[in-house]
Amino acid sequence: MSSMGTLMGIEVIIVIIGYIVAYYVYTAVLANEDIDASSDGAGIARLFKEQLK
Amino acid sequence: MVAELMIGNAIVPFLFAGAFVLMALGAYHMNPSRNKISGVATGIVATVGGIFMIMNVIMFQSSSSPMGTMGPISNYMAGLGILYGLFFTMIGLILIVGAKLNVMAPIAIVVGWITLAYAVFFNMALGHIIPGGNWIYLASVAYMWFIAMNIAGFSMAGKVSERFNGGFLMWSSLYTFAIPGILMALAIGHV
Repeated sequence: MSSMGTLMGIEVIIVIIGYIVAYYVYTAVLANEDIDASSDGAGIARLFKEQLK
Repeated sequence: MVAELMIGNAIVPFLFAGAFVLMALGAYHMNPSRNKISGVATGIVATVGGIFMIMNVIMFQSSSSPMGTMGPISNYMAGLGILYGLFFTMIGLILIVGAKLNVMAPIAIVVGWITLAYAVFFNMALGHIIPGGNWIYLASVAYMWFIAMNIAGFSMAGKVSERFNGGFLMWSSLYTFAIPGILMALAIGHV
């Protein structure tokens, strides 16, 4: 079953690489608060406020 | 053959819920000049779909009837299913409340790399554990999610164009959720 051991090693290395990539992206996100292409901030809070006007 | 039919049918609602969520998220990202209210609508689709996916996996794991379990697939897919259910629920709630999505960028990347570990496992190990099982399509789905989640993560961090992310999500909705759902529901192929 040495192939299974090799496989588990590969899996652990893959997940560790993933965490390293995610860490660098997270620091980039934290360093620049303006980079956000995904949400334009129309939430339920603002919608209720606009309805109550 | 009967066992294969049961395995295939049980996972289909889960897959179609995922197809709904991804279609909504993909269409949302395809149009960067969208109406602001569409974020709330997309968030509702993603939240309901994500909660439905989590419910499905818990149901399959807690049921002892043969139809309730997903068989061999369930043992290897439950973790992946919960991972994506949680991710979609979180994305949906953030869109509904209207908070910024960029904190989800590193989470998307971690989810993508964990999926790569699953893909390698499907490729290398499952043929030995379940003899005769055909996991090629499942492995290709997992490789595709590795790419899709990395694109989504870098897009949320502002490194990749949002329209590209949206288009890739819509293609993923078709290839990784809708097509295997149809194949397994109609027992055309055992995935």
